[in-house]
Amino acid sequence: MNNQSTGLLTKDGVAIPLTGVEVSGDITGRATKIKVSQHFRNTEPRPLETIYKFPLPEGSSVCGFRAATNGKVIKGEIEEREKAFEIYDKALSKGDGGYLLDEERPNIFTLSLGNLNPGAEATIELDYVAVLDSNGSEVRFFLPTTISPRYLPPDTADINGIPAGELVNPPIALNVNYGLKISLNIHGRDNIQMLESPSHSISTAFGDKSIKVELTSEKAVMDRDFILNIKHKNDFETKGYYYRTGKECYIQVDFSPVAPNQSNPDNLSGQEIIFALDCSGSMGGSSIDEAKRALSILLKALEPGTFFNIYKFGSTFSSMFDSSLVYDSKHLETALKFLSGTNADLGGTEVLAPLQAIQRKITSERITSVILLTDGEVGNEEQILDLVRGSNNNMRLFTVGIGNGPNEYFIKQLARISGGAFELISPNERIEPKVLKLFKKVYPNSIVKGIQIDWGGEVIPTIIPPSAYCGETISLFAKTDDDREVLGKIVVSGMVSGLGREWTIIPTEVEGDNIPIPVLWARGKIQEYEEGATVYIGSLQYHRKDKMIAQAVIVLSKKYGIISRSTSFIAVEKRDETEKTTGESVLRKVPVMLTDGWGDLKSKSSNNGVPSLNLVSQSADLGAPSFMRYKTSLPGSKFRSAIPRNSYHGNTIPAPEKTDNILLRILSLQQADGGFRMDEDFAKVLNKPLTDLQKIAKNIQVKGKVDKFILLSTVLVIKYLEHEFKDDKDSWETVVKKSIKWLESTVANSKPTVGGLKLLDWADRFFEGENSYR
Amino acid sequence: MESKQYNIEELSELTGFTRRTIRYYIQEGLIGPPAGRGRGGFYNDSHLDKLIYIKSLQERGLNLAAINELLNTGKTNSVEYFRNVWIRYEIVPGLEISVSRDLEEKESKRIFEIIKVARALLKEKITNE
Repeated sequence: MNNQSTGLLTKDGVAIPLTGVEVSGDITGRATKIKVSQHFRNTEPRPLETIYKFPLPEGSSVCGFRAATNGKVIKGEIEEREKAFEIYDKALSKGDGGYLLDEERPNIFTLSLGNLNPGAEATIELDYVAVLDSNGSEVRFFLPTTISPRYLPPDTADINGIPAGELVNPPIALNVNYGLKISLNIHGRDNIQMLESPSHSISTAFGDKSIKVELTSEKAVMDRDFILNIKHKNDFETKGYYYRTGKECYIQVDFSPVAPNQSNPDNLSGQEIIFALDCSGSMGGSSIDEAKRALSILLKALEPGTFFNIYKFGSTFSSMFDSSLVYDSKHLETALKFLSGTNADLGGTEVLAPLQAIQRKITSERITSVILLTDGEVGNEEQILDLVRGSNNNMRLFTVGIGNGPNEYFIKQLARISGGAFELISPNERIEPKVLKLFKKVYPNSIVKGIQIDWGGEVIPTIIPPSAYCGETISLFAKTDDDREVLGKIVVSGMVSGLGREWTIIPTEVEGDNIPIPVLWARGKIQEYEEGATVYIGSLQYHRKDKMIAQAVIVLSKKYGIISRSTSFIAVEKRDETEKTTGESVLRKVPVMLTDGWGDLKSKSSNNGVPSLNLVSQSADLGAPSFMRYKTSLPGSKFRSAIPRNSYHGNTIPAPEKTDNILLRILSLQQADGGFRMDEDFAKVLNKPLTDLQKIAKNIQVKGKVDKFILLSTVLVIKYLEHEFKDDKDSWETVVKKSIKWLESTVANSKPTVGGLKLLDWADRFFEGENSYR
Repeated sequence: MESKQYNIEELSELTGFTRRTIRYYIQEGLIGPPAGRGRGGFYNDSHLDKLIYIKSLQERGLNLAAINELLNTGKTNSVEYFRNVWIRYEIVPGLEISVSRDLEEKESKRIFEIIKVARALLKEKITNE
């Protein structure tokens, strides 16, 4: 569609009214309160109407909106969406200033500033609160800065007569003159073990109780998500809080289940695992290569008896087998061949069709887990989500969002509504370890099913998801209609591997002015209405929200002052006659930057495969145009070693060269029937010539017929992992399960010895003794 | 006869378009700007007629991209929007099951089952005869 302003805004240097974005706020544990300030200035000789589409984290509750201009601060009010536009439109017609914030998607917002006079400035401030994702002791703060182009199939229906793409896709530029400044206070300093940003260069300053984290650049390029990983000293624990307003009481439960120590037999035999790999152009570059490597390790980790298949998709899709086949060494070989012939050459991101195809072939006889690797740049999220919602079957989706700007909402929501799990991976983080970690959740022992809560009284809870994963924390909210003095205990119950478990929580009272629990409760409730109450039940009877539900959302949204898809923030700046805008404002749409690495248009050379742990900050020069960035600061290839580091503990941590690469290489040595076959590379890791190890294998005494070389390889690999990758057990434990079982039964049957020693004892000496491999 | 004048509220009421959508159509040049002073100006029957025409095309299933194409060139490739779309499954040569697109999308799994069963049944019969 023609757009009069696009040509002016991008290339020819016409001033963009947006001059900068500042983000500041506080992070306490998993709770965040963030203020986003957007500065605008009209340098043109005519009045402007400016439209800026920008992203926010999908879980954020926007609970404050202010416009500061002409020495005034106007506080925004919540109004029903079209009513808010009417107020805005009327204000503009009168020559007053109008400031409107609409929610298009849970992670895409539209700001409209009407009647910005020549020379005038305005600052828009919005506040949001959110609960961050956590895994074990690590919390991830995520802030998107740009909107990656969303793919919409050509027949996508309009929304109220306006094309859907118009609502979610802003104009894109390769360069803009505004940038980002971030300053965050991380509270609870003594509990924090490590901070690192895999996306940006950061600086840290220590206060008594908090740590201030800032971007080293005052004007960072807004072409990638900002990610801050905060590792705490201890894992998060199940806890409860309540907050009394005088009339009502709001309760928050943070549920952090831990995997049981005594594992029941835990395997995937009889289950179906489907790998779905995004091969659209936007996956080009290193994304597709790493995704393929991760998949090949998972393929080798599957257990005999599992049904499996691979789908690759873009504008079209294809599958390896017509329908899933039983895993064995022959089919593994086919799969590895299929994978190696896969490239990011399939066009746009069409997720719907392959998911429909997968769904059609699902049988009720077994549980199906789909491991979906994608950058998720789709604009028809709801259509795809509806497909999953409407399918009352056993399909769980484990989603992996890849790149500098994956569609966070889509990736997470797909996992949530199907009872699966997700991972988001920025380009400076390796894909493989995260995928391996995610794969662990496919196993029955890591999931708590059938969650129920006894709140200890009459409450209005937000929806309780039916399952949770060990290691993760989920937050649940409830509200009472009276302000009870003392809240009793809360009991969460669920099943892990068929065994009932209970968690008892005594909630503690929190006090203060800015407690976000009521807002978070309301947001949960609104989400529940917006997505339809049947979301988690997975009923076939999924209904679109009707008018009554829309009304309930508006009531909640107004009462708690938070935005929703049915309500908007509106602020009107009443002006004196002399200040009023005369004549028609010219429309300016603020372009956003193309996501770095988008379809490999720009260099992705930063991705040189170094683990992101152990680092407090990294500094890429974000002031330089992004296509120059890594090349100029990184002659050669060793990304991390070329970067100045400031270590949190003051001591430099050894070069991270070994870890992930070696681990991944080892894991790829696994055989279809279990067991490993070591190669020259692994022998090098052990500091022995491969021929020596072959000799040792020959000298093993066994009962019966056993491939001694495989036996020795497997013993050495497993012992090596236990010795050298103790801390990464999370990523490899599940992957080698099959081989551990194989080893146990082989050792029990063949009683292997070397030089009179039991093989396992010999191996322990090999790794612990003076004369060992080191 | 002199054309009647409408303000944006009246235009919205008469056409069923929201104020936002009307503003968007002006911005995109689908309808002309109002007569008179800026945003608060008035609209006439030509605005109204055009909006009603757009609405009628939308009710026939055209999205705005297709409408624009139609308005600019007098043609549209998306003829499928003019009729209800049916998807045909051949069961055996000479026999088809037709499913409306809406139903196909909603009940894809069940329909697939029906087709599978129908195919299996009929193939058996025809080969036995």
